[in-house]
Amino acid sequence: MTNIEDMFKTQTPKPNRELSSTFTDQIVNHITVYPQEYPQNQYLRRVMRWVRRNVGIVSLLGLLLVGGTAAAAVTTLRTVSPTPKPQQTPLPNVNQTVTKQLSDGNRVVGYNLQSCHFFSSPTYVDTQPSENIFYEVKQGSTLTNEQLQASLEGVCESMVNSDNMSAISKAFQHEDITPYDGFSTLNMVVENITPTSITVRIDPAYTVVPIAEQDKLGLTYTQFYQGLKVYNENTPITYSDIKAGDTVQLLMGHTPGYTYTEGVAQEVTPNQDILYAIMKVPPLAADPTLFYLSVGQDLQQVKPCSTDSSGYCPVSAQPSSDN
Amino acid sequence: MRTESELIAQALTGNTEAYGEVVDRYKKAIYYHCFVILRDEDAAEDIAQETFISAYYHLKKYNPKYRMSTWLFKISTNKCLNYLKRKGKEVAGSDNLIASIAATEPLPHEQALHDELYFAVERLRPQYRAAISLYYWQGLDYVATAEAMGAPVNSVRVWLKRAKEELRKELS
Repeated sequence: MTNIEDMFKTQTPKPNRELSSTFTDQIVNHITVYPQEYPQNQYLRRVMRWVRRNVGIVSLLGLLLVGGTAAAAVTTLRTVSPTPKPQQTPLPNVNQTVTKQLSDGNRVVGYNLQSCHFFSSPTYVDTQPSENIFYEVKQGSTLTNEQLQASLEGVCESMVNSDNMSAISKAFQHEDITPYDGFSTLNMVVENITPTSITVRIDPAYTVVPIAEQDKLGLTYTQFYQGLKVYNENTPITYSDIKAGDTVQLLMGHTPGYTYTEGVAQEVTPNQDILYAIMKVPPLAADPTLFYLSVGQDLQQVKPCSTDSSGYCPVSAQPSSDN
Repeated sequence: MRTESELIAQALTGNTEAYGEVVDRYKKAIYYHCFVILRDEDAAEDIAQETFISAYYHLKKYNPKYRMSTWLFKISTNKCLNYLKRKGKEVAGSDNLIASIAATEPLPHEQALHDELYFAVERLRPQYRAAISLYYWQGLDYVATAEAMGAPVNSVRVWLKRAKEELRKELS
């Protein structure tokens, strides 16, 4: 008779391949960029899952989160024509400071970020009026320094919006409500608005969803919190001030009785959501998608150091092996 | 070398490098565990990565009276089982599994027996596979396996017993 226990003890099933060499880096880069479970990211993931299930396109952002071929993803991105930068408070600004070719073919690019809130703050509390960051770009990457600069600007813009929405969400902290996911910093464009409903779709600046598919992503919310708050950035306005074509962010919560099970019910379900706040924001002038897709793949954050001959050391832990 | 407690304490202050060390310590075990349940390398790697990201965001909830590995196994087991639920595939046969089993090279007749065993394991329900993976292959005891699966110890005992009965039946 077979001794199953002995066999179990002596034989362990192994996958055909080991983990990818960037496994740890991708995680560390992700949590460095998003020190907290960043609602924009979480919400975008939820939207992408909804898209994948309902529209059937590939979740490009998933590539950032769980690995994959960034190069393939990058080639699917559309080119965004430069648009006049909208007025934001404060206006983020990204300037290239340094570029250095490394002996292994990679290159290091530095940027100065102005008014890009808490880009590298671990607590999300300390705002950084100005900081310098550096990325090592892998040899062979099609990513240009200018593309990286533009996508960093997009990230900064969304962070400024996030800062405003964070302040608004605090207005609810003394009320008996719990907005799910905290809040959403995903910019949405108002497609239609009536006294009893608002229909939004993803801001076209997020090229993670091809334009043709974005048109199918109208989400209609019909349930409003009785104390609904409406803002133009951080200035209170009224619901009737919101017009079709405006870019907004939404603070949402589930309806009573909704039970959220991780990994099971992650579709966007506006029919089960209550809107607590609507914040009008400037549309993104720059597209953050390329950064999201490239970090941890084509990009690794580094910092100046004297212990490496290149003059730069990884900010995150480098996996030494797959053990 | 920093201890696990030190690494977690540093990670809680936002030190992502310290958390990277935690990831390095457990990534292989979590990946292998997910692979046993999912039988798909890409999915196993994805879920393993989600496990570590999720664990980081909920690090404050980690109770140090349990082993870090048990907590990670718990998160990953939930995610793997949820993944299978979402995919709606209880069992997706994978011929590759057999080819990938074990580094040791058994004799031909032993290999045949092992192949048979793992074909049979593949047909077990995901909870049984998870329990077998945790108990036999990840070296957890009954209590830790139960903790990792979020189930009573007796349930784990029963699952393992039934799993072995099913396997014996298959192999007899």
